[in-house]
Amino acid sequence: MANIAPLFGEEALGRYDELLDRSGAVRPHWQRLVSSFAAMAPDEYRHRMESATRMVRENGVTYNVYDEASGLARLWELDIAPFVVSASDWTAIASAVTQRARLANAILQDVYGEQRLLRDGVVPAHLVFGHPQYLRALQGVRPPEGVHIHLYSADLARSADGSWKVHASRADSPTGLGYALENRVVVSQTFPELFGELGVQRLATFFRHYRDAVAGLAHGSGHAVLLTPGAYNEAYFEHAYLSRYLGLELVEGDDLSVRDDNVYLRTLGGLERVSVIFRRLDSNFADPLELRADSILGVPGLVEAIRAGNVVVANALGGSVVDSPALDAYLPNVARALFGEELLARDIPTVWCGTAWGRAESLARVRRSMIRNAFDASPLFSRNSSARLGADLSDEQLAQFADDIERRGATFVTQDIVPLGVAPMFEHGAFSSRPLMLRVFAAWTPAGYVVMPGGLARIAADDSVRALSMQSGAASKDVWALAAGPVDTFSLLRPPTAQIEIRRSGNEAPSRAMDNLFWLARYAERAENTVRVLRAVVTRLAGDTGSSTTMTAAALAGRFLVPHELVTEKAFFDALDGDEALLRKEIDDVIFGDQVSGLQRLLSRVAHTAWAARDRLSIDTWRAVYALTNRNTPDDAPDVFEGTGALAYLDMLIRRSAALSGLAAENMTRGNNWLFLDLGRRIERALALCDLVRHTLAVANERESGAIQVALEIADSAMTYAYRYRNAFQVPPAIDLLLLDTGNPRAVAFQLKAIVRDVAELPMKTQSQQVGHTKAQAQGVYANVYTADVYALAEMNAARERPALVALLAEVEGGIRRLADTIGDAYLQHQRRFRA
Amino acid sequence: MTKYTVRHRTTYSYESDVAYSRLLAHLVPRSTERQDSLSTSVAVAPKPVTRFERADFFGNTASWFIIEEPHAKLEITAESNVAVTPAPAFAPEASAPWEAVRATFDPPVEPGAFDVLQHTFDTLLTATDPDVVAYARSSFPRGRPLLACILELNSRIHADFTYDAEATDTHTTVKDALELRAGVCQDLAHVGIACVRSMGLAARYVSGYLLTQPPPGRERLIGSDASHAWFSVWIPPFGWVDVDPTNDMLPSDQHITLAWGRDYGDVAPIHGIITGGSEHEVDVAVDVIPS
Repeated sequence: MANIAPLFGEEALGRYDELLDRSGAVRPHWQRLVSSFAAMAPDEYRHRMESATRMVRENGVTYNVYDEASGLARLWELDIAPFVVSASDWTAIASAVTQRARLANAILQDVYGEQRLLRDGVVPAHLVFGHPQYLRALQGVRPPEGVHIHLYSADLARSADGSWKVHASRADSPTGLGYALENRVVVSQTFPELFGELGVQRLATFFRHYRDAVAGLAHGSGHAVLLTPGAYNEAYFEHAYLSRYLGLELVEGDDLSVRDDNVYLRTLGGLERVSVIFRRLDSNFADPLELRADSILGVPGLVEAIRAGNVVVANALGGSVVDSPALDAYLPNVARALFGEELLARDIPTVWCGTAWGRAESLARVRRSMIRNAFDASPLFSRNSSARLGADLSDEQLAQFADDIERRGATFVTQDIVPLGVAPMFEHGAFSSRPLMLRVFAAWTPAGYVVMPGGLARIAADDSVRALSMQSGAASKDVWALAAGPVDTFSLLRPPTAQIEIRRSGNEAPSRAMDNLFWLARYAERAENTVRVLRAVVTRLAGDTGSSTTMTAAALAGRFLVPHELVTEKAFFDALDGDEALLRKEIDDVIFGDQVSGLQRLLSRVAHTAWAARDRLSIDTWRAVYALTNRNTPDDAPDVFEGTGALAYLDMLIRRSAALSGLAAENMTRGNNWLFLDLGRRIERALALCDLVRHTLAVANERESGAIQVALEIADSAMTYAYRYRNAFQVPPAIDLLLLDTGNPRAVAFQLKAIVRDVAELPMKTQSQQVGHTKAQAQGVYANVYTADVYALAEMNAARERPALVALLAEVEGGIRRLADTIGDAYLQHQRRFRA
Repeated sequence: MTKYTVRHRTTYSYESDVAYSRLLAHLVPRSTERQDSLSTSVAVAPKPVTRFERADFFGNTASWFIIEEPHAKLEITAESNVAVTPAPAFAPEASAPWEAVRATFDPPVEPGAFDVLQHTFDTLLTATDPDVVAYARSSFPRGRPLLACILELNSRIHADFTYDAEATDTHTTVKDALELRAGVCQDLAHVGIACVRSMGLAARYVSGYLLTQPPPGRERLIGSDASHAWFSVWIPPFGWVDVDPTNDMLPSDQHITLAWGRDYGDVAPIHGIITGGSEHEVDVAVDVIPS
């Protein structure tokens, strides 16, 4: 074990070392991992870390930090070395957390019920009535079976004496469950042998208990949904991930509506009842009518539906009251009063400043404590945290603190600064140790609370007190709780043997989700069409085709780019005169720049709509989106990419775009998801093709064969044309191939035929769906093309225009746009809410 | 005792049809020690599919209306009959020193006093900060009887703040109003509440009405053409004492109480969430007629 750095000093500093005992020997439950790491070739660990990081990136595991200007999503930081917990330690942790969950639930029952704890003075009434998240609208409302907390989390750290202390708890909307699961997926794949040998407890059974127990509380049939604040929430990845894993619809507030005291989900087919809401939206935002009046998130009327007992909300609203640091000071008494039990895990020593004694005590110890708002449960030193270190205060600030607690002592606590136990990190072939915090989850079941045998460990980036909030760069670890007996290998991904009903489609299709998929397809297709045009121009600028036979770069730019204001007229005229410098620069900007109409903005719209539809995309599809929209992803064919020139980049985008559409075509079942992706893609492609035909074939020019070849090139139909007609470039066959041929996937008619087929599948339930006549509209547009005569379309008038072709294109374009609007109105509109 | 008929009409006009509205209103005057709420009728057009009333946490009557037919205009008219007795004359020197009142909020607090206790804490709209403390402090010299503190604070707010309906809206916080030194009755009440709470004392928000036509020979009060707001402070041995900073006075029988809570958000005359409709205009007309 030569590569274990000596750490004997830590316990002398008052820290517990997870890896080494007092004598400096590796503790038994770490020995296997240590020898396995030690046996690895020098680069092996680094390779595994890189491959795990790649997996995290490609799976889109992110943690959003709201106020980071650099972009929405920050990559989830994972340290692949698992945190190993011995079977006996785990048993102790599990009993302690179970007790806490049970206690927290009992407190909430009392707080929102009889309030005996307050009336008997076990808990000062201040801690409830002063709590900003004590929801008065819920007073006297008993949730089904009296369950307030369906999912609970506690943050634990080891003290010097080896006991676990509770540093924070979450009873309202605990986060981290999805990240814990994703960490497990990645780490167990990174060290499959070790994972198998060690006898690590599996997580799936816990999730099943959680889901089934909540669903079991529901009255009547209905959807089970997961309510998220939306794609901008910091934990949105987790919401999308959990909804998929647990088989729930992912919804936002305005997907839900309350009628007759029941909650309904807006779907393609109208309103459908919701009986269970797994809530990931903070309580006070859950009903903008009765709770926070400054928000329109949430579901107006939800509180009324809860009062009526018509929906299970997990967790029940208002749970934050038990998370306040001030309550920590009273928990031992509460446990005795309610259960006659002693706490199995204590909180960090806390003094509430609401009493004369507390104020004096706080002032006496403030220099070695931290000061917090009594009700502030946000992670220590995170962005919203009120925590300050007493040691950092100037004399003036200290006097200010004394005045603060004299006036409003009830709103302050001081808490001891407790050194956190340290756990190993493996870096550069050696172990080092860092402070570690362990988040453990408990779920309610009819038989009592059960603990997830694992969790989310966070290891500090450095040794400071401030280092452990996820916001400030700590890394997470998978938690390997070792089993005392055989391992339960049940997996939610592999259903148990019980027979389940065969279904051919899910009828759950929330309008918003369909809207996201529709626009994802439209943006992706629009990006591909833009790339195809740009590639034709760039190819000619590079001068490596027989451009004499087709059109020049300038001519192409004039037809396709100037009208869309992608390049300036000056660049166009310069290029016509033989000076391509400005055109080159502007094209480069369109491809790589940040301008509003540029390619990069279009790709980022693809990424954003895909993110919003995250729960409906397979991992492979998500990875294809990631590859398409991230410029620095290595390609499957790295040699092509090495040039990093515009042409190589555009070629790569075409390939990746094909990969994305191919995945949708081949891997998605033909349900509503696929339907709206396909509609979006067909509509956008038909519009692009109309544009292409108009600019190349509708107006005759001197070098008609050149224009035809450009059209065929951009529409990827040159091979077919050559196969059918050799090198005879004439307008009627080109019109036929690009406009009328229902067999060419890049012809307008092909798109329209597909649209007609798709539209026929749309539900016809609501009034707006019936009056929209989408079917008739789609068939009408298709008939325009279907009945057109190719020779009539090719006829030229005196002005050398093709009026019949121009008219048909206008009709088709208009028809498609109207159809897209009708579909939007009848199926995709999620109506916006306002405050009256 | 003075009897009044109050007519309170709120009209929303929307640019396009609203598909669905859900309203939570506090339009039924509560009965208090000095006020009998005799009758109230609330008319809503278009007709709600559902309407019901329930006492809220603070004992006010809250009314819910759900409208499901498309509408471009929504009118809510409440008509109430109330009888109000004048407030007694409170002698400032008879009130307890403010520090002694504050000390009663230390534990143990009797269950009967929980209701008062909850009004010592900040809310979203009345959040305090060092500026609020600095503003409040000069009215609270050591040992001064609480009512004397409050009377002075009330006069200072009245003198320092410009009544300006354009300066603020219903979401304006105390911090904003204090910076602007301007606002409407709601903002002035919030400032007063925040000042009192910042000293560790209890204050609550009161929503109500003012007599619109003053008795002969007396001035028409500010805010009398719409609903009004003031605040109330817990002052032993008197109990809750109403204070109106907009008019620098202690309300008596020209003020009619609708509802009270921790801030405007608890007792807004009408909260509503609409689906569709986009831009809208609101018109509020209040008539208070002695009867």
